[in-house]
Amino acid sequence: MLRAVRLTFVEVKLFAREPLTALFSLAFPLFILVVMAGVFGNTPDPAGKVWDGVGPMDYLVPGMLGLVMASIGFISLPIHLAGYRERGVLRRFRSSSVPPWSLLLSQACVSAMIAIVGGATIIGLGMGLSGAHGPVSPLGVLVAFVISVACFISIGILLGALMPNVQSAQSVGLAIFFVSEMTSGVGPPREVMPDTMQTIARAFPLTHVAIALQDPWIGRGWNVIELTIVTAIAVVAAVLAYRTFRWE
Amino acid sequence: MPQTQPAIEATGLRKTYGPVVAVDDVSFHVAEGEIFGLLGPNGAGKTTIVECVQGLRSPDAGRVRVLGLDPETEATEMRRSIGSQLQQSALPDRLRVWEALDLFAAFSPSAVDWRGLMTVWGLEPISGRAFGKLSGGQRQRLLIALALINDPRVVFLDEMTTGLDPAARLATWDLIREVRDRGCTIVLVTHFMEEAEKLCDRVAIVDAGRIVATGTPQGLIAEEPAGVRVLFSAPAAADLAFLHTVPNVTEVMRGGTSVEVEGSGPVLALVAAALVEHGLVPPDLRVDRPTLEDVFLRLTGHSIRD
Repeated sequence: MLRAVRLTFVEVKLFAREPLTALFSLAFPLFILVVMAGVFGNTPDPAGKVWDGVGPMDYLVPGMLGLVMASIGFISLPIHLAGYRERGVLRRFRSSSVPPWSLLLSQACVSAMIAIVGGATIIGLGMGLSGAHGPVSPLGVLVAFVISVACFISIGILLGALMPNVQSAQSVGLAIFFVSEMTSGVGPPREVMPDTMQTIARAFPLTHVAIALQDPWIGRGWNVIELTIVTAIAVVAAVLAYRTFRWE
Repeated sequence: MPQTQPAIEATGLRKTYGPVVAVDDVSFHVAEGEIFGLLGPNGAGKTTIVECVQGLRSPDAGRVRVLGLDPETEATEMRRSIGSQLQQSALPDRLRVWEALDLFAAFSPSAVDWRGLMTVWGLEPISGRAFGKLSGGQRQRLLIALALINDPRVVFLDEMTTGLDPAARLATWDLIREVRDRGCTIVLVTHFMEEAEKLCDRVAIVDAGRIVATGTPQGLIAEEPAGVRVLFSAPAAADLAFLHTVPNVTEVMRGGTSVEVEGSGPVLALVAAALVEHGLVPPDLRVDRPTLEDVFLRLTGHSIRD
């Protein structure tokens, strides 16, 4: 346990020293947020159809929280782990008998911290920039946030376990991230997408995470079904990640 | 042969990667307190051997015991007592030298004072430098220091002087001898003849996945039939027939003014004495002994650098 704490502390320091990586994890979601705020503002669709009838930014800000997590889980975390493997950092840890779980736990802690900082930035910017409203059920959003972060950290570690090197982690991660971003309702609204696209979107975890976050935010209460799906994805990914994790 | 239990015992190790046999029926033992070298060209299988011994790879066949422990089933216990400087291992680029030592010391219950290691291995002046900014030699010294941080009983050093300049290499050899003098067993992987000859108590010569010879460097060299060559210049007219009667001399060859005497054992002293006795004091009298290089060439049919 002490080892995991020490590793986490070191990883946080290293992350703080790598401002570019930090920026990259948050830059894209923030960029989309700013663009969306400029394009849609926060005036609800008069017909009440698009954005579920709420202000576009009220709908997008909680979704963007999911996008920050997705950028960590699909991109930064797998690249980081694959890089450690490729460069022989994992090899060095392994020969000192660092147990895999303490290494993975430290990665999870750092990722959670980035998600919290990124989430706070998204909320602050979203509410400040476009007059988005705060969450109707803060507790519901908090619960969804915690479960969703756990889900994307598991996915990130799983991808990091499966990807043999940085290059493949980059290509695969970016591809999943962009498809997710376009289909999960955190960019173009779900309602304007054709049915088949909406069906495909349901195969991506970000869709479920986004709805789980949006529902308590805009006042539709806790979405237990989506929370359950997100939890299930988290557990399956975590088990697979632990079983497929390789040092070399 | 060691009286006590050997620090390392490997029997019949075999490892294949697809159709490639990387290690083929390799057996050796390392006595406690010994500096044991695995000497061979790149790609000979040395690294695979030490990786199997450390339980980092699983051999297809064979048995390994390190300090009496099975590296596959008792890895955690074994790693507490061994130190390892692996090839192709690295640290995060932004991790500073002192942070690395501090972190890895925290990983080990038996850690030595890392500040002392930092001084011994000359890392003090660069303690605040990030790993990514270190030179090859500085990295190497840091990785060796990390291998010693848990006060190990057995240390594996894989090509430890790669990237070091000649002065740093000599200094490293001295430090490694000191580590051994404190009772540590050292397994050295090297393709560097001089390192094996000067530093190792015993070497195993590895070629194409097999151990082709094992022994002390001096013992292996002594078995070399090429023998010792004594070289000097003498006037072409000088009568050197007396050299044939000198003990240990097997052959005398002359080309113009240069003379080459081949023999064995203390042939240099005997030839020198005979020359003085006959009034010849060549200023360029020198000896050319066979080295591990010659042993390697004879055993494998190729140079280690091929």
